[in-house]
Amino acid sequence: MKKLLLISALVACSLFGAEQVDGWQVSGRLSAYIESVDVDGGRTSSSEREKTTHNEELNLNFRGPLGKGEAGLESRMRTTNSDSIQAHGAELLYMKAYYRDKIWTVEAGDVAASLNPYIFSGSVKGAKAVYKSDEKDHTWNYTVITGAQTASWRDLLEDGGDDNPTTFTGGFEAKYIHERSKEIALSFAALDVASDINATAKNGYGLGIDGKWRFNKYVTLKGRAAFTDGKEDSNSSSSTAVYLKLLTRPVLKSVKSDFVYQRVDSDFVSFGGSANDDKEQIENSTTWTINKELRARMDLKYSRNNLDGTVTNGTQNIYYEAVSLTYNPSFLERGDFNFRLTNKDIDDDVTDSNRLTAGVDFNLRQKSGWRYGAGYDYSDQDDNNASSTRTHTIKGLLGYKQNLGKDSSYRFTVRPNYQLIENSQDKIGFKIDAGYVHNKRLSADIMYMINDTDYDSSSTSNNTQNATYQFRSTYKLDTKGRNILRLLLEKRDVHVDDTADSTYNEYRGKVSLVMNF
Amino acid sequence: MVKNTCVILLLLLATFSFAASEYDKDIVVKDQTRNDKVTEVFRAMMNAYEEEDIRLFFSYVSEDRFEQDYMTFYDAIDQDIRVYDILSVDTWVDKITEDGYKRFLYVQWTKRYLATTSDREINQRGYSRFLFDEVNGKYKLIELAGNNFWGKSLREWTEEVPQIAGQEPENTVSGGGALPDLTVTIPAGGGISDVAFNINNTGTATAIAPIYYKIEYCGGTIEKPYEENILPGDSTTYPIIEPLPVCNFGGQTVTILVDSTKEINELDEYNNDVSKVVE
Repeated sequence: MKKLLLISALVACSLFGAEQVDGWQVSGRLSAYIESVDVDGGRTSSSEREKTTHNEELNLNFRGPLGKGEAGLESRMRTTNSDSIQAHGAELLYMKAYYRDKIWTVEAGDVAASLNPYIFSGSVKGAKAVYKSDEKDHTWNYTVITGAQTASWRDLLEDGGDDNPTTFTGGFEAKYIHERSKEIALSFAALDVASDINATAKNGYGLGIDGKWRFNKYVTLKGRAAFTDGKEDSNSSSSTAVYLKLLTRPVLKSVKSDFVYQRVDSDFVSFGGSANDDKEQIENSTTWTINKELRARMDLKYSRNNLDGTVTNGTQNIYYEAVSLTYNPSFLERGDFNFRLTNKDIDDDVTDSNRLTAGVDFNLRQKSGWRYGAGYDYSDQDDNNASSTRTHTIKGLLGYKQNLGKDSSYRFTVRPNYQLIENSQDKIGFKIDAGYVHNKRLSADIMYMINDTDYDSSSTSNNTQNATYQFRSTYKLDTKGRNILRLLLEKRDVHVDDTADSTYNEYRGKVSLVMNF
Repeated sequence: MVKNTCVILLLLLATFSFAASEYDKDIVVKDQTRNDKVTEVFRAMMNAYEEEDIRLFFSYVSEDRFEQDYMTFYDAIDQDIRVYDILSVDTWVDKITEDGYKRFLYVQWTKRYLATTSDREINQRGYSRFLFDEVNGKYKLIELAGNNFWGKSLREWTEEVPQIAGQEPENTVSGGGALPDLTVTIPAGGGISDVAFNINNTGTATAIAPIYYKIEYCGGTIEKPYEENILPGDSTTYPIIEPLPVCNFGGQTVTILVDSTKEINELDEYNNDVSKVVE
């Protein structure tokens, strides 16, 4: 009888489980907040205005079995009264319907693809299909995507006519992948902006090839190239772009050295993707683990523009060099010393600027929970050999974190800092951040930050004092943390000497709720 | 006779069924032990990460078997520790799937942290996959996929992490090397009491909101999010205008830093700020 009951229970459980698996499911997330800002004192000077804003976002997803695969609908919408977030009160941000099985993925709505970035990269409102062959040691992937390139569904429905016509684009890629280590892809993309106004009309196509090839443990080559042809702003052009990255491990486990070469024609127009045109660059980045205690990194970069010689100010050359060393001594198990040096030169026929930076710092994290840190940074910005700005920054860190058992802990961090800009100003301040977590469900944090800036007597600027007080709290409404309530209270005091109108206080309160279902 | 035969058949059936269930039970127990081991290793790694103990963390990673670039992963964890102050991490194991001795651990997670360059607390969530394999009798990490729970601060690393179904949208598009690149430009003009600027994405992937910007002016700072995604090659729809306190008469130096919370992986991480004397 017991076994019968057990079997019945198992059958019931299996059936119930099958219902869960086979049935359609609804899931999503609701996040909402309300925020209030108040200002007193020199109201005209504050960046904030007295206001109360609210924002609600809803992610809603349906999914379930269909045929041999799974189908679903995903959506995200937002309502708000804040103009800085969106122009309209309510907006549909995202919507996608899909079907996928082992071989096919078909999507409609907001669809995205990352093909060769020169050719097609991004999202459109349209449709996408992906076919994956099911071989053991290699696979063929075919992707086709097409649709309208607009930021919102509203823009798509409210086509702006000739002044702001809708852009239609499409892309196709065939990719061959061999044992995960070698892949090669051919892609094609086309774009069309239909308009009677020549300046906004744009159409063209691009062809690309990209891939990676891991020869062995020591050498891997990644690369892509593209050719585009089309018309933009009434000018017709055809141009090319190429990118090569060689990853080498000359001494396995201790040295890696990566080389990059990129050249994008000055009139290169990426019709479905994106690229910084008129640029040639060569880079090397080398990391050397000298031993268990010492690691070094060096970056060398060079780039130039004016590839067709038409830039008015002549060719701009940018040289960048950086060296850094990390020393992690064995006698300080959880401590390290760091040194870094960078130099950047930018020159053309008009500009000649140089920026040199150097820095050292020390960090120590003890098992007892204490953390210590100190650092010094120096920078010298030299423009056209005429003006030089030298800045010295000293930073400190003292922190402590202690577990109290049962997932409870408290911590605090103090970060003092001092900055001197020679012949101009000096700034001193510090930041304290402290927090308490109770049972991983409730956390409360406070932050206090103060900065005092004094200008040299030769300067016409007025000295300022600025203080921020902040209280943050998080409460998980359930043990899994799926529903979370957050609170933020903040006060900022700004005082500017000799200008009464600029002394003011800002108060901010924000309550937010996240619910996952 | 028929009755006896039926009883014998039933007994045989029962014996087979019990034998089968005992066998299944045995397998289940073994698998459960392996799954427990993997979960234990993952928890230990998470604690080491929270405690910023990089040596302990990497004692759970197999250098020889690691399927991505081990040195890049080391750099990424090192960078995480420098750039972020981790306040709390919560993880929930969604499922564990197996391939021989290998175990794929699918984890949902939330992370609360401060970027050292920012005054804002960041709450991030994600869905990731961790692959562990038995090396000399101990389970060690050999591959990461999905959202970047570890090593998010280093672009070279995030480029190597493949995407998985169900992960949260991120600024990293795997495989093609497509990434956003944020810059700030201040148009000519502007008044004494405000600063106007545009945030541009000159990269090859969409920069996903919120995009935090921080303005430093005569002694004070403002840090706010820009709440719209910026498409590659695009800029903020309208210039962002922030009123500033008047604290001098001869002009003040204003510095604008975009992606102040270091949330967005970019093609170039060192072109995010611009300074200007606002007349």
